[in-house]
Amino acid sequence: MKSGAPVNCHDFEDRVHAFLDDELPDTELAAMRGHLGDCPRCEKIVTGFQKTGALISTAVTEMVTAVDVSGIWQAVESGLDAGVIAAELATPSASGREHPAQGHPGSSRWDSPRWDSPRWDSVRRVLDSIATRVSPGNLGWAGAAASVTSLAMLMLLSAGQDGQVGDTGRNVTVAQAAGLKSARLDSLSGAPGYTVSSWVQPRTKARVIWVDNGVNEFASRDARY
Amino acid sequence: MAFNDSELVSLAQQGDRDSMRVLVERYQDRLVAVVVGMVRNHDDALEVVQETYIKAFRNLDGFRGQSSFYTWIYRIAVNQAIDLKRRESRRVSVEFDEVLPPGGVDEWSQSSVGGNDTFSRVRNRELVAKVYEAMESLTANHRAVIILREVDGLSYEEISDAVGCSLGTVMSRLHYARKALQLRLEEIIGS
Repeated sequence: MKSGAPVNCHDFEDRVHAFLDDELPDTELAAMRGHLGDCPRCEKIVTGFQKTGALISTAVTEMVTAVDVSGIWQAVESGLDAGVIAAELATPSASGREHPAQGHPGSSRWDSPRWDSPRWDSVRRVLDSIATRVSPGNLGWAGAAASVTSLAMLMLLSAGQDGQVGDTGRNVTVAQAAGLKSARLDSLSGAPGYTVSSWVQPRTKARVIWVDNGVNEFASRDARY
Repeated sequence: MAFNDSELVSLAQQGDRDSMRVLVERYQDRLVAVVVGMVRNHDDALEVVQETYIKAFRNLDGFRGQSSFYTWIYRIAVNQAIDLKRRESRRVSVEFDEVLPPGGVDEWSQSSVGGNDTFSRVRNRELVAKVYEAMESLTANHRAVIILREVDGLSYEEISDAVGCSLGTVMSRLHYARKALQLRLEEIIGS
């Protein structure tokens, strides 16, 4: 179609999407509008696509209104902190202490977890924000990856601390709730105010981290770290 | 005085958390809108958006400003959403997925949002569910393009930047997606 030349139905259908999306030069736009005013068939095509677009936009907007975006920055900041912590932990310290993740709970020589560090505060903020969304006494799920990263960081930070291995009844309940019928307990440890356990499904290697802060408990649904 | 994106990116590249926060809050609603349309699920959408920003800030040194900041993060978000859908399709054997609350359109369709009276709420829920069902029939790439256009109003060039394909591919994906959706939603559109 030449710019500004008269438009027939075939030309119009060829360019209808660019027309709808305001991607045509002014001269072509005028010719398209001219044809549209004279052609009920092409007008029907345009109306159909416009209705489709409006439906998509409305449906997505309706869904978005139900999404709580208030915690996004907090989770992002925690994720960034977690990356820094992971990098620090991956670097052997001058004192030659072991990487805590390489030790077994209760046996790690990394004997000064940084519970008073600002980064632990950041991780704790995310954990508590998850906990507040969970009904007391019910297992809730932490799906967001940044939250999972925080949980993973909690595992690293808390490795070597005293755990509650004897709490097998509760652990079995958690595993069953998570659908990990044949899961094995990978590690269990504690942080101030929290009990943390990590579960692995041997067949799929799926991992769930479970956290109990004394009031609520929640689990990651698919942690990769 | 509000900083523009390029000034904020420059400060964020020096590790300024306040600038990062402004960038997050400036685009989080738009990103969520695009991603929720692609993944259908609130929790998954939040996960993708959070991971998008974390990835963007960790790689901010590599951002040279050839495209705008938001088309750059859209590109990361679209790829993250596509990856998540691929992982989901491979995750059928993960048993604990079966007990998860969906938190998505199905849950939404049973909630009380979306309308002024009972009739319109029920009707809206049904419409939303049908639209999402129709969008599920598209590939992730087609869904990304139609949502970036219809929901966020991006130009062809911006979509091309955001999804990393040519203008011609953007146009052909839009044509296909619109026609496919129109066909599937014919009953609603006709009424």
